[in-house]
Amino acid sequence: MRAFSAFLRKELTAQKRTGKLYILAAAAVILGILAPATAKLLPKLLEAVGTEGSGMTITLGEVTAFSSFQQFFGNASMGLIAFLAVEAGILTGEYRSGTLVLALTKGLPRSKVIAAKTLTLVLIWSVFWWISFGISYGFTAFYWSMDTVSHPLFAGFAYWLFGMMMTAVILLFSSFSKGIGGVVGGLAGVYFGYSLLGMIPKLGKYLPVKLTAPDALMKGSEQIGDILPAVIITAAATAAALTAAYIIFGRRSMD
Amino acid sequence: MDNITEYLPLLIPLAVIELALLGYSLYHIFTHTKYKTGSRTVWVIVCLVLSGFIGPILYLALGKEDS
Repeated sequence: MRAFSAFLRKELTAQKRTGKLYILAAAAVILGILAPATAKLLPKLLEAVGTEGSGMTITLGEVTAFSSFQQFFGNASMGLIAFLAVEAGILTGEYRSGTLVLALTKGLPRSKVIAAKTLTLVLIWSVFWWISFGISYGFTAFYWSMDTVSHPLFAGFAYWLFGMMMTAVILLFSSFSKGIGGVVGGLAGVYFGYSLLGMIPKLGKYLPVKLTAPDALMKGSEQIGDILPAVIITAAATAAALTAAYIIFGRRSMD
Repeated sequence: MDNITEYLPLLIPLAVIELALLGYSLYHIFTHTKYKTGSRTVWVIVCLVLSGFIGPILYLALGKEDS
């Protein structure tokens, strides 16, 4: 336990010293503000552009809390990509610099290394996501009535879970790749793989990517029960990827 | 734009953080000569063109050397 907590502290210190925490904090705040700001300003901007001289009129639906959340989940992929881009090298960076070999030859068990890395990523993704979601939620509730959107919290949870799965994918591909290229390739491969499978109509509702598009749920045309299969499958995929990462990392050669 | 004050709680923090990110990224680019990927010219262009926040974040994630 002492070895684990020491390594976890080292991990968090590294996150701070390399500035990753600050980059992600800034991104989280921007992402949180951007959605309500866009929802609030876009109709005004279109109005100004549309009415000047051209004689063109643009009719827009009324802006509600739903539009703000729709905007938020539309932008959310940018936040997830920023998180993944910043953290993709969490293990492969150490293979490259050779710093992990030092700790391992001194007797730090491999299982504790991967467990500490996992916990670090889980913590950072969770804080990043809920700060961003919280800011967006706060502004939205401040400007509009929340009656027009159903289950926003569950939609937030679903996207968080999808991010957890992508975090597990980082660890899985890091456990056998030599460099960051393999990890980035793995992330892209998993995402496009799911997107391709999503083209088969009957499969769509079971796939993790379903969690990234909660519009129907927030509109009320779908209930939580309709999302549940995808939630369960995503959670199972996350657990499977983490287990595989744990086993493969324990057996790989460190050179 | 009838009453701008309604928008200030959204716009002020957004502008402050975006300018801070842009400023820090440009400062970092000009005080360093080696990057993980790309060159100085590429990163300055990326930061300025995608200056909302995507450019600076891309630089900090993919261009900035971890030291």
